[in-house]
Formats: sequence, C-alpha cells, structure tokens
Amino acid sequence: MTHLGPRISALVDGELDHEGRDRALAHVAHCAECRDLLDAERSVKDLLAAAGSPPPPPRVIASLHGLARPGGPLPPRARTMPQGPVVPVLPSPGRRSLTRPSGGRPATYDGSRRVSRRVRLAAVGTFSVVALLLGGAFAAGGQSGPSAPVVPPAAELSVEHTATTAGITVGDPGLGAAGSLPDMTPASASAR
Amino acid sequence: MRRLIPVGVVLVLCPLAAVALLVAPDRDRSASPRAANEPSDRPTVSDRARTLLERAATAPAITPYHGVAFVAAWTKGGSTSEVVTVDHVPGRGTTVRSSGTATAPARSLTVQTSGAPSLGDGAVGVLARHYSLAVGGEDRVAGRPVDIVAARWPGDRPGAVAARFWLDRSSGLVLRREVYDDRGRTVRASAFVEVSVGTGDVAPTRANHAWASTLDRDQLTVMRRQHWHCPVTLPGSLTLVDARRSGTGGDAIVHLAYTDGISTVSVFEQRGRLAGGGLTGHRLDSVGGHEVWVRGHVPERVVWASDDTVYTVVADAPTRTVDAVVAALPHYGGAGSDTLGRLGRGLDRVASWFNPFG
Repeated sequence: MTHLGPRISALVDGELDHEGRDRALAHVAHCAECRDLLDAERSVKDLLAAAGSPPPPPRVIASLHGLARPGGPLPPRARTMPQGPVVPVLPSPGRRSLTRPSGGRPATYDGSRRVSRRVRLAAVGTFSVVALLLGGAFAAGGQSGPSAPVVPPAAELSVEHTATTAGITVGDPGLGAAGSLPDMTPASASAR
Repeated sequence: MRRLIPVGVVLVLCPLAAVALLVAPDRDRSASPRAANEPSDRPTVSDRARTLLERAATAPAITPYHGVAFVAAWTKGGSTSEVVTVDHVPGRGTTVRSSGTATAPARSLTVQTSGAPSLGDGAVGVLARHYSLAVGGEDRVAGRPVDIVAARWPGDRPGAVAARFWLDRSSGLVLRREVYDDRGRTVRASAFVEVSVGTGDVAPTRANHAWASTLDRDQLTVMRRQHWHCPVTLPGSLTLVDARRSGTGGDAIVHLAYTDGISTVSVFEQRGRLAGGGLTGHRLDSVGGHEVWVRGHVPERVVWASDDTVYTVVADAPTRTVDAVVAALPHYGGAGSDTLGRLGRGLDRVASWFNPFG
C-alpha cells in the first residue's frame, strides 16, 4: 500500500482536486499511519493559524504610502513595433539552408555542430536546475516576518529542564532539582 | 538523442551532488558530530548492574524519604557547592531547600518529575545504549549499605569511568552520584550525608510540573517544515528523548530534552529576537566563534538568537559537551540579512526536509 506522503499536506490545505481528495480520504479511512500524520498536520496548522498573521513591516507600509502620493507625469510608453517599412525575412547569403535535399540527409548537417548544440542544451538544463535549487533555497531561507523582542523566562525554563530531565536519567530527583535553586529567588520560590 | 540523455544526466547530477556536499557538512555538524567523549563501540551491560539501576530508577515512585545532601559542580566558570534539605513524597513531588549563605538567600523549590520520557526509552535503556555497566563494589553512604555501579565508556577509552552510582541496598534509592569528564576529573558530585527512608514532607499543592503538552515524532516532523529546528541528535551521543510545548501561536516555546543517560541537555526554541540590553545574570561570551549569553552555574544556561528564533540551552553536562551542542545549533544572527546567510539557512532547511533523521 502506498502512503499519502506529501499529499497529506495538500489534503489539509484543500489543494487536491475532487478525485484526488476522494482517493486520499479513502486511503486515510484504512491507513492508521496516514490518519495519524493527517491529525498531526491538522493540529499544527490549526495552531499556526490561531497565531494570526504578523503585521506588515513599517518599511513596506511607508513604501505603499509613497506610491499613493501624487507624482510627475508618467513616462511615454515605449514603442513595441518598428515604424519603418516592413522588410521580408530572407536567409542571408552566407546562411546554409535547413531544407533537406530530396531523399538524403540535410546538406548542411554537421556532426560537431550537433554535439555542440547538445552540450549547450545540457548546460542550459544544468544551469536551470542549479538556479531552481538555489532559488528555492533562497526562498526557503527567508525569515517568516518581523520578530518581537523576547526575554527567555530563565527560572521557568530551568524548572522545566529539572522536571523533565529528572525522569530521563538515573539519579535522585531532589539532587537534580538542587541545580535549579540558583534561579529561585525567595519571592519566586514562595509564589510557586 | 540517446547520447544526449547521459550527458545531460551527468551534467545535472554533478551540480546536485555539489549542492548536496555543500549542505552535508552543515547538517552533519548540526545532527550528530562525534564529540570528544562519544563512545564508538557497543557497550557491555551486566544483568546485575541493569537490575540495580532499574530498581533505582523506579524507587522514587514508591519510596518517600527525607535527607540532607551536598551538591557540587565544576565548570569552566569555577566550582559551586551547596548543602540542601531534600524531601520526597511519591505523587506529590520533591522539595529542595537551601538554608542560604552570607551571599545567597534561602530558597526552596518543589518539582514533580514528568516520569517516563515522551519519545525515548526509560533512563536505564538510554544509559545502557551508551555506556558499559558493571557492579563495582560495596560501600556505605550516610550509614547505609550500598552497591556501586560504574558506567564506563566502551569505545576509545575502554575502562575509563564516566559515572558512578551508589545505590541503597534496602530501598534502591541513589544516595550518591559522581560524573567524570573525558580526562577522569570529577565534574558533578552529589550525596546524602543524612537520609531517612519512609518519611518525607512535601506540601500537596506546591509542585512545579513539566509542561503538559507533549510532542510526538510526527508533530516534530511537521514543525521542522515550519522552520523549528528540532534535531534528533546532538554532539556527545545526546539523543532526543522528550519534547514538549508551552503556549500557542507567537508565545509558543518548544522544549527538546536530550540525554546520553548521564548528561542532560534541554534546548528551548522560541520565536522572536533577543530583547536589547542583554540578560540579567548572564555574561556575553564566545562559543565556537558565536556570540552568546552564558550563565555558568549548574545547570549551565546559554542563550542566543538566530534569525527569528531565540535558543536557550540548559545543560547539566561537561563544559566541552555544552560547547559542542551550542556550536551545532543554528547561528545565523548577523549574517541573517545578507544573501549568503539566507542561502545557507535555506539549504539547511531544505536538507532538513529530506533528512529522515531530523
């Protein structure tokens, strides 16, 4: 049985067509593994959706306001067609014809030129793949938005560390907890 | 055309391989580089040692006790020691009190441990996976007979002791514990000087609990796609054994707990950037060429921001392990806004999507 894989994300986002969605839901009905993944994906996306969208950065808002201000006249539109007489397109005198002579290979067919064309094509393909990869990485490396200043809650994190890690090592929980005492001021200790 | 395909395939695969090579060192560094104290061979575990340790791991769940203990630690920032009173009642938690000194006020803390880790094996399982375990003799602690179990590195330094546990023969409780670094120096020591088993005094409603919202492996996989880092392993054979979350949306903090059975490291990830003015009680330091805020007490705490995430590492581990962990986590701070920094970060993220080991 083939699992849904990346289609789980598309299913949650409503990006599957009618038939694809039916197939995916039919699979989920019988596959506990994909059902669990679907639940996990949904819960995380719901969590993120609940966070709301961050406001646009002030620089972007300032730019938009700048666009709305009255400015000078628009520059004239560039002409897209030449205005001169139409010249028929003819092969230049030195250019070899691409038409095949009757019943044979093209008269201008050249092996080295074919290889050169293939290498060029391969190079263009390679360049495109690398450009796509780097472009994708560049896009993925973008920051998610303006971040708010935070101060980690030091005492809380130390206590969380103690409460969690005392159960994952062999040791006395009290002696482990003693390590968090430097974070405990008398006020916070009594409040807890 | 048939010739074109191999040429094209080779020319396409070469840059792909080059990109993979560009990505691989960074991922390896952040995933599981070998630290100085990392074992390489399979450990040997004696049945008796395992039985004693399993009894010790479960003893606090059924045994109340009261005692006076000392806790000492040696770090690169110096040494610390403290005498504390410990009370433990199963189901209520553990209260630790310090009577205070001329320079430090009296403090107390009550915690209820989280129990079994949410992702990994129990404490003994993790310990036995990384260290050879054997019974190393008998002794007395606080007047009570104990068995000593030694955990040794199985690989590069066979026979070198990483930790010793003194286990109460009657109750199974850990009455003394020492941890050593890769040169054999003691880096942690704690022991009861007085203890009475069967009695304890913990107020019923005072305990601090671990965050209730645990994360499973599927949820962590989804979160990695949302640019949370969440590595599965860290330097020093540290393995992710527990993951939790506090808060929601922009206030969420993710807690990832790692251990090799002896050392423990918590990595907290929090969206945002560090507020200006520094952190109270911390000093600015450099670890692996990265600027971080450090508090040298045990547990050591290291804080820094990378892009839009603030990382806080809380560690009860040798200093070299803590430094290796900090260096292996993302540090895109100043370079985050330039093109190369963004490209490196993107390659790191893309690689993490396709890396089944996180």
